[in-house]
Amino acid sequence: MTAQFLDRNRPVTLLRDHMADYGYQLLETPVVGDASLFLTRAGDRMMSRLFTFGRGGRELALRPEFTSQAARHFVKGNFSGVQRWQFAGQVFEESPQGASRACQKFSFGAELFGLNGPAADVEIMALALTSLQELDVSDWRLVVGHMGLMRQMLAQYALDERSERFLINNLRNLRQRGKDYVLHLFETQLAGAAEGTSFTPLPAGETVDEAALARLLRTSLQGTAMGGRDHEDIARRMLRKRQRMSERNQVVRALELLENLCQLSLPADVAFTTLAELAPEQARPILQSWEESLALLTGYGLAKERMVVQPDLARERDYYSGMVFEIHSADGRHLGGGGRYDELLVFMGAPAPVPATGFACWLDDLDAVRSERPGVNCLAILLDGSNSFAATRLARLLRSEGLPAELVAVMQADCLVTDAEGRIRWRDRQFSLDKPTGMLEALRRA
Amino acid sequence: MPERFTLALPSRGVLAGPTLDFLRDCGLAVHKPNPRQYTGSVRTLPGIDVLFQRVRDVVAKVEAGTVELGIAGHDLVREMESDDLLTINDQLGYGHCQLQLAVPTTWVDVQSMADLVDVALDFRQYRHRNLRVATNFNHLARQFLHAHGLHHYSLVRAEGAIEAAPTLGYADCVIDLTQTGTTLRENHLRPLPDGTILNSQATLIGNRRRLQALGPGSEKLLRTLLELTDAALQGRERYLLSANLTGEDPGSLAQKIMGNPVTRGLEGPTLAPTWNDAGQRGYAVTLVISADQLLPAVEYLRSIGGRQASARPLRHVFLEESPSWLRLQQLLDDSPHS
Repeated sequence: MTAQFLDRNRPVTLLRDHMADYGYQLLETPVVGDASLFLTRAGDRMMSRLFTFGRGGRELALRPEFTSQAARHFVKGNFSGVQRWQFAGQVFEESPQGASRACQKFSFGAELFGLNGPAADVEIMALALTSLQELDVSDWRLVVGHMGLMRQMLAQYALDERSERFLINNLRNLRQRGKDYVLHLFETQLAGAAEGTSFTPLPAGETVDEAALARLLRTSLQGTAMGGRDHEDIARRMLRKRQRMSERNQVVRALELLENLCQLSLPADVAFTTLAELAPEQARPILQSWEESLALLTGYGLAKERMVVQPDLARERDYYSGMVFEIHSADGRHLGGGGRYDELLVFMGAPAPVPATGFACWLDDLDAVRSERPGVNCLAILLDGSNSFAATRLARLLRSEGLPAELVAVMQADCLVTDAEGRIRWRDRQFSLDKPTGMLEALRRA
Repeated sequence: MPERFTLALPSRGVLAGPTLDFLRDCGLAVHKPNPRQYTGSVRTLPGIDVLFQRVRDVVAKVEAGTVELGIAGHDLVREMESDDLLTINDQLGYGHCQLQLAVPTTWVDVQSMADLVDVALDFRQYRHRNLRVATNFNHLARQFLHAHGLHHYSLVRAEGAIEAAPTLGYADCVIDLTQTGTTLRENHLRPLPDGTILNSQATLIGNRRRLQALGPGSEKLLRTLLELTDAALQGRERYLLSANLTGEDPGSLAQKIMGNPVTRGLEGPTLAPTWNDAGQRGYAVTLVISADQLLPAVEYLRSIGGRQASARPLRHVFLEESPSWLRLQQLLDDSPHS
């Protein structure tokens, strides 16, 4: 980015106070961190554009977001119970124009740890939306999806966990390139025996037990390099891959369901009736609590008409585990988003998943849709060469009264003009520098 | 302004010797007064200073603009990508190697990148850690892995014996340069069929800012250098073929020779009249033939009346313009800063 005149202090102060009202404490994180930390939260486009550099033998990166740092802080700092943290600051990624340049954006958001259920989901969504309202962004749309529902919908087909993940991660392909394409990917990438290998210890059609196969591999495989895997790992994966081929019919049925879901984009008040028809019995509790969450949101004064349910928004299986949401402007601009990501904390070193939700928005994207235009409104005082002393006195007086003032060299509209004797002219009215009360009142009224 | 520039060359490693051989073949033999010194000169082009550096430093020095030109592997040039680092010719015809992803041969279940993505998820699921990839090519490795949907990995830096990392247990697989694959095999590693990241060979590179600032004298010097390297590369795969043909009519002989793509040569034949002892009229034909077409060309000339032929390898073939010079002009014109 290039230098620009931008007042971040006002919106940032507003946001900080607003989130503090909800009990969120400001977390400062380092701008530079280990690249591996940011890569732990991967799977989306931005991670491939991490701005990295080496120094002292370490692979470092400029922070692309705050969640990874917050999650690690939670784990490493041995926090427990409910923690509410807010953040604001610059985030970076590699510019598409060249590896040597960084894109810089101002991000803000919040993380809520240790609280489960609709109450937490709603709190984060409400916090995100009311924060936007604080910044005079009033024309928003909330789009919501649910990873838990997606998984529950797929559970009826009893798919292998990896197949389920594959289907969810390919929702975009399903929408854009169709069912057959995704099925082809499944067959070539996930299923089937280890084709093309000269080593085929699996007799066709027979069931082989994992331990026996591992023993066989151990005795017959040449080579000492194992990387970090052992023979059991390899045996397990070979068997699983072969089993996946037998799931093909289930995958076809799952794809049919997903194809239907992909086409849905429903207003919040009718969405749940439609989804209930598609969803299996076991998914009812999730649907119900999800419906409750959206109803709860209206309790924050947020209009239901602005909410849209779109099941295929849940498409980052590696990252999100529950509800996910995006916030758009009326003209479709992406303003921010978030969701529930309980499992991320395990990869930061937590012994078990920790309830975690959060959101992030980018102030730069908001600037375009905010109704308030930031800038400084100053009273102008004409400086004409003969009145320097009086003009300076006048400026000092106005500033001390809380009225911003600047000296200008050229006559402009609504300019205050003073002569050397302290007589002041403003909008056809006359005042005196020695008796300024009337002038101050008039200026304040204007 | 001194009308000189500096060419940085690899001081050791697989590119060092072949680079000196290549320059000698171009007519640009490098003179190194003392084997322990880091500088040298080119007697045929006295304005060029030669600086010997480790190959990574060659790229770094060109990128930083400490020197104007350098020769290094294409792999490193791509790894150290930057706006001011220009690739003038990435096919100098030697130092061929591939940057490849290789896994332990014991991983019989892994036959493709898709398999490796699945294994990376296994590592996360069962061992709660990332797949560890040993490499010296962080930038290229990262690009490649993400492009294949492999997001859960850690790069392990290993100076020297990268191939040993999976045996020693501090990495799971490697991304490294291979020439013949022998080192991989000896370390019980196997490249994945879709795991080739790039094909590399010796590459002539330059620094944009320094080359833009060259004076007319050194620009001429640079042009001579590029003319000579291009001509040597063009000549490398070509033969000058001379043959005596019997025949009365030069026009119809020329037609026959031009009519066959094998003997068409660069721009058609040169014919010169000959007389032998028997008083027979004939013509000597001279052609520039690519090396792999030498025998077919001789066969064809025989079939249209050729009697004997001789061939010799060419050292320089100058085209109308030096392709590298043209390319460089283009690169310097579209500046990323404009």
